[in-house]
Amino acid sequence: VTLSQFAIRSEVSIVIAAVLPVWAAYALYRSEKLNRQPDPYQVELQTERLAPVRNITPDNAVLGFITDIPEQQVSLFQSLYYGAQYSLAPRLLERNPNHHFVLGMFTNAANLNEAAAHYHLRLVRYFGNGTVLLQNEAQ
Amino acid sequence: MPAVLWALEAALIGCLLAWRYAGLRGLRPRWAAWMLIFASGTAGGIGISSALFFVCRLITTDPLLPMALEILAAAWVLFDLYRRRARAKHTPIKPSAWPFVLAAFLVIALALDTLVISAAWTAIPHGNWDAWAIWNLRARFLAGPATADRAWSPMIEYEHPEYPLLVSGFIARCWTFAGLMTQAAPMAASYLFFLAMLAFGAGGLAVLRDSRLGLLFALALAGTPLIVLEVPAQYADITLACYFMAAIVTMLLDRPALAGLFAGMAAWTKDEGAMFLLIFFLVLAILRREKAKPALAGAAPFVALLVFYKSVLARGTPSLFAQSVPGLAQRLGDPHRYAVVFQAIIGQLKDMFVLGWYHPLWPLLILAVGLGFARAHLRDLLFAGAITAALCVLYFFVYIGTGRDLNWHLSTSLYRLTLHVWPCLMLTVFVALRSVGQPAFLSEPEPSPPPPPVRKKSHKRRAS
Repeated sequence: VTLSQFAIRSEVSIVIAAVLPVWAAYALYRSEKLNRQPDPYQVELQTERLAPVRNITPDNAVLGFITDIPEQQVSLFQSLYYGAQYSLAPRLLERNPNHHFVLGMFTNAANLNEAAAHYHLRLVRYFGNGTVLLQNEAQ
Repeated sequence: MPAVLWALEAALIGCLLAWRYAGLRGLRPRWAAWMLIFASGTAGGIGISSALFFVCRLITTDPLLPMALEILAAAWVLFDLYRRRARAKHTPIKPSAWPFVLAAFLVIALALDTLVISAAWTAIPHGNWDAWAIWNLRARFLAGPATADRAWSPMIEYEHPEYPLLVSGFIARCWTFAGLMTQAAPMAASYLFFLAMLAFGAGGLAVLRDSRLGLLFALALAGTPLIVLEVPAQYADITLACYFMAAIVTMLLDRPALAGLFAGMAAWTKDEGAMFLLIFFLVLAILRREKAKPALAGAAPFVALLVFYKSVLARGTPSLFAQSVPGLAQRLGDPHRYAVVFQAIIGQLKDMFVLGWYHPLWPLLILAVGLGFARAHLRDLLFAGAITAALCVLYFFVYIGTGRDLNWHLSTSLYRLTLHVWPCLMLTVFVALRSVGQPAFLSEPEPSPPPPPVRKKSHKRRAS
């Protein structure tokens, strides 16, 4: 390979190697603009909904957590529990009703009443969409 | 906004420290030296300020202590710079060619990447799942009043209390100093690490080889969707990839203490970083033994912090390794698992064709064909390649031996491990490339000059 041949080959490869990533960045911009799904786990919604709980409870509180969604429904249960834990942090959520304040998330009002009676919980506040703050009278 | 300013403040102090103490100022071309100072300062400043905040948090909940220490450090560096300014000799600097076209391309690619990232920030301001379920959650614990110990409490066993805390610690620091928990802090942190990773690559290769190869490397990274899409996720993986790159590049630039420091920061970022640290020192012991001591000295503070964290604070929390021990021999001997992991890796490489026909390998292959490889760069190739290869092998066997469901584990983490390895792999290829304008017959090692005549005097000295 002569010097001029090498120079031409290297210049051509440099031009292509420079243009390709710019094109990729542009194509990515085009595709992401169309495809991005906003807040798939509804974390923002949880944060807004649970804002009153943050106002009622102290920052270092440990809250209980109950729901009528079985843990076997992994994705739904986890997005509810972890979303609530994140929205309420630095408060800690434990998956049981053995605390003074208990966060409840229910799909059905009958299930809420049944759980409240079973664990001796008193309704403190209803936040809509089946989300409630309960008080454990035994704690 | 105040949280972003505090993030920038950490990077700024880091840049001042790098400018004064990292020994990067004298590197040429000058723009590459600036890039390396920015990259080292940003990655180092964030790492140091995070660790400082964490250690202070163990002593007091008052944010004034870490804040005052940071401001004192900044004041000291400024004073030191001012003191030495008069003594510094002003040597004229030769003007070096600045590849404007490539630089303009990089700016365009970065602007497009930033648009992609900012669109994702709007859509998912809290990041992807692990960001809010692990990293930012633990940052909230660290930032809360007297709730720091929840970040490593066994009560959050599903949120990985055993993970190190560089990223969470830095976000908590920004929130605490700013007085409010805003998503701008984790967004700024991951974006700064993304920029720092590109700057390490561009600056490092420009110094080691030439300006154009440096900019082409940064362009290749900026055109890798796997990397760009992970920035708004707010995970610790961009941070980790940045520290991997930082450790290898600074070692190639013969800055072993700095390289050790970055390898230590990687270990304080994620458990995979601890694996990298072990590999880094193993390769160093084999290929560049003389550099091991200063590198160890650089890594020591973060290794000490990690050992203290794992053995004292997070003791008793479950770890992937401990979970994988029962039945490990059986899994290692199961050929089906090897087939599953190989298939997943091939699938991951195919998934990187996210834009149709484009694969981030193409620029690499084109440059390899166009420029070729230089035998003179074998030493650097061996160092970077050995680390990358060992990392790949170790990651592979983590999957073979994992006690968790293999398919779940692969589907949730393989793309992120690829993200750690990919920039290292690209760096390995780029350091081996022939410099631009250096044809094959110039790149072969020149015949060694005849040895200088031996002086009688020095003979006598040796004999005595």
